[in-house]
Amino acid sequence: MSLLYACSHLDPPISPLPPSYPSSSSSFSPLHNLYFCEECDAVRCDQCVAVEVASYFCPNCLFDVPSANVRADKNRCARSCFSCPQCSSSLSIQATDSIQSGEASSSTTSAPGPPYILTCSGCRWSSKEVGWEFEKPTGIALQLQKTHSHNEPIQSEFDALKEHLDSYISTNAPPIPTPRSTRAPFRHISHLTQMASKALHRDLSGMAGSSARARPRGSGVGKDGEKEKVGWDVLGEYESKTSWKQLGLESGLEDVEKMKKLEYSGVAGVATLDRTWDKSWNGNRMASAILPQRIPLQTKLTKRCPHPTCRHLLIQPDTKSVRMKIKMVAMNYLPHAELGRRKRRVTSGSSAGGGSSENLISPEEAEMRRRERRLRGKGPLTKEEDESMDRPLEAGQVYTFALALTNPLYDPIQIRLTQPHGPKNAPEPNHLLYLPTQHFTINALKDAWAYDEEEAEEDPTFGAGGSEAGFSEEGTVTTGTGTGTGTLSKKSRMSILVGGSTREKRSRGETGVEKKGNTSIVGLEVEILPEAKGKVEFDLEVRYTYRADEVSEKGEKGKEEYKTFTFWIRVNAGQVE
Amino acid sequence: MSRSAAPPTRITAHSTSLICQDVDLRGDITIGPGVVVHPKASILALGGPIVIGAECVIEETVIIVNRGTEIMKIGDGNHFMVGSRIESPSIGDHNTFQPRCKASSGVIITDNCTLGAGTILLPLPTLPPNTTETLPPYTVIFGADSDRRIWDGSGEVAEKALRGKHIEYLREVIPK
Amino acid sequence: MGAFDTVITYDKGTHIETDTGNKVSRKATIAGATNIILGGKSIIQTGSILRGDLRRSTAGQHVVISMGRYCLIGEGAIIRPPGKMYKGAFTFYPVRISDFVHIGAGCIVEAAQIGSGVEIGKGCIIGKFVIIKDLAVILPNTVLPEGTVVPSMSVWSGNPGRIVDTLPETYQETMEAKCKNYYQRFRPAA
Repeated sequence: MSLLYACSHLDPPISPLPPSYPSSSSSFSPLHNLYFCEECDAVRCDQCVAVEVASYFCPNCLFDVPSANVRADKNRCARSCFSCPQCSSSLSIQATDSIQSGEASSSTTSAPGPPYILTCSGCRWSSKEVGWEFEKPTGIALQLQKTHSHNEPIQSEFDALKEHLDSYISTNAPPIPTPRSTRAPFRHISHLTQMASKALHRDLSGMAGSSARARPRGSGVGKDGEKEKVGWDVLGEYESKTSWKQLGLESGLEDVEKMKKLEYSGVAGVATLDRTWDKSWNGNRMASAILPQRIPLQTKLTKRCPHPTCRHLLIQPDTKSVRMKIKMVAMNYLPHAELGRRKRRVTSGSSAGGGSSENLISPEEAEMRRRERRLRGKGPLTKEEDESMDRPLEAGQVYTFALALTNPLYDPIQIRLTQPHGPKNAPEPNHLLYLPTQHFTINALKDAWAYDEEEAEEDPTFGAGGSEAGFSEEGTVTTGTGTGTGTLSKKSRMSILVGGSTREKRSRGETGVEKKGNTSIVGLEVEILPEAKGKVEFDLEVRYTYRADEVSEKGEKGKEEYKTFTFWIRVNAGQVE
Repeated sequence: MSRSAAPPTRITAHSTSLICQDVDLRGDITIGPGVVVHPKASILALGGPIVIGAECVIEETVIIVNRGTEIMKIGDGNHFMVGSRIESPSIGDHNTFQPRCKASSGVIITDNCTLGAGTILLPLPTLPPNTTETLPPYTVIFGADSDRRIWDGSGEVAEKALRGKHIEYLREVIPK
Repeated sequence: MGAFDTVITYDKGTHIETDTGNKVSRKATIAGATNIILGGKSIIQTGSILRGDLRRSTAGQHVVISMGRYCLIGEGAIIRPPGKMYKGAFTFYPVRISDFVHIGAGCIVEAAQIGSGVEIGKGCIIGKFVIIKDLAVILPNTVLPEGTVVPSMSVWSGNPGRIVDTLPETYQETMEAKCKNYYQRFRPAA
């Protein structure tokens, strides 16, 4: 079970709002979706990174479309890739059967020739149904453009309008500084509309980001425009090519035809909405009239740090392969956290069980009780039962979880685990959280080959983590005394193995921590309050200290610099029913 | 790779048919000339007999069941692809049953129909219950909702040629 | 990663382990084993069917199914080579599966090529001559019609399948770790 990591977006890293605020969920995402900017020393997520298109390709023929051609191709594949009008899977090109081929000749002269048609392997649709046949099996889109240029009626209208506006854009390329006196710019525009349009074009403070994105380095243009805010465009009036009235009259007879067709084909003959909804409204709505569409292009994206003064590349894809030229992902920086191995404390007596007074526990009292419990934890009185993670939690029970943190760095790191303080007025959580082990270390990540060897060595015991069956107590790490914690007794029973390489770590005497390779596992205790309902969620603040390698290269050898980084994770422990 | 090893009941297989080992044949089954039955296929004549026509291909994990008392008649040149499950009381010629399609016992399949991958063929819900529907020739069942449409028959000749060659090839390759 | 994953055990006699670490269930149907190449550390589960006997028409030795390292063929999955007409004759074409490919239980695969780092969910039907490029996810119960091309970093779902999502940039590492982890955990019962 992976946990969610917080991204503070552009704000300086502070602890996020507690889970009781639904709005806080937007800043959490799984670790593998997050990026890390080394310059800003901050986590970035998909919601905040700046995105640019690095390259375009067709998902069907995988052709890399030069960005110069993309616009002319209308963002769709300009070769031979079409999607089926019935079921949207991609169409294949097939030679048609030679018509005279009888049973006798089919075995020898079955080498089929032109004309070629598009067929769908999913639903057996063929382009014959809409009268498309091609002479060559290549460059279908081009052939189609030549032979069947029957556009949708709306297309010519759109082209005319575009031409009309284009002429204006090209002639007015350097915006003509119209004198200020032209206060009444255009005939039909009333003062009211002027006001409205001004209001619409005003920069909104909250929208600064989006408008900046729309015109990347165009702040100057924007300001210029604002200075001459009354410089109205000199634009001729556009006359539509066909009048709607005319169309309406003509369609009278068509409607009769349509009704006839509909009667014939029944409901199934009408195209479903998802098949027609990228077409104009006055198109034919019968399923048989839908034409295959060229397949839309896909993109590879470059991602940048959103910070206005940083803008460093976080992701830069390689157009040729699946590798990334630059890949700054949080997975390589932050320890990977997982939650697992739930256990429920079974109380033999009723002393700590769900008394009604638990509602009004004072912190001291709670602490007392915990201590009590810890003491008992060592004794045989308290038992812990393994439970599946997906079973609902029960109110008034105490659960222990194991939190595993895996170090992605080639140096050992130190962890400090705390509970962040929420705002004062935050609603009370439905549970109490106790972290028995707050400080511990995680071993360094080793090269892959080192692990392979290790795996080979410790093969018989590798991965014994969850299943205790059959494994001796040989690898008990956590036989610390004195400050023994509640989870300790459980730990020693767990018999977590330690590989040969990590064995020396034991001598350091870290308690409450199981270590295996570059993973450390600590306990979490969650007491669900008796009146609790719904999700049990809490945030954890993880601060880790690592050795920064920048200075240590040339400087004195003894001097090592340590840095810390803090991040927040959200733990969803389960649901109370 | 021989004629059906130790038939539990009565199996009549034509001498040019090819039935692999590790198939499950039960009940009264007649298999026509040129039929190829791949391993792990099941033909279960639990009720009435099953008669399979010429040049059919029955691939892995196909299940053909006859629970009724009447004869289940399957025509010529049908292709039952991997994992399809057939209970139709009658099947015509040159039909394609794509991987993991299901044909229920309530529909008679005529000729040149295609059941798409993962589709389920049930009688139309508008018909009164317990009536058997007849699927018109060239019907195609496709997509997640098992929609129906009519195939215009393009590529039919090529497909028949492919199927013929396919059987020819299988008969040559499998016994090795 | 995978700190709490439990060992997946099997009875010692039920699987054969090869010199290169492949684990093949005795209850898998493997026809034409000489035409199948396994890259090592791959697992073939109970009840799966691999049709290595459906080879090309031309004479000589042919690889029908080739598979890379750390692959998994789930329970009851069927891998068979696709066939078509070529120059007037029918022939089967080989299935090429790269490294780190998980094929879920009950899948029917007739693909021509599956790139590395591909996860195919349970019960998918991968049609004839489908090409799946490196790093892709096919969600459970997807149907890919004949000849579909699945580009890198895409997620597919539905019948017929279509692109529903893009994978995160970290997917390669995640998938490789997952496949290795699965292989490590798949071991005989003590």
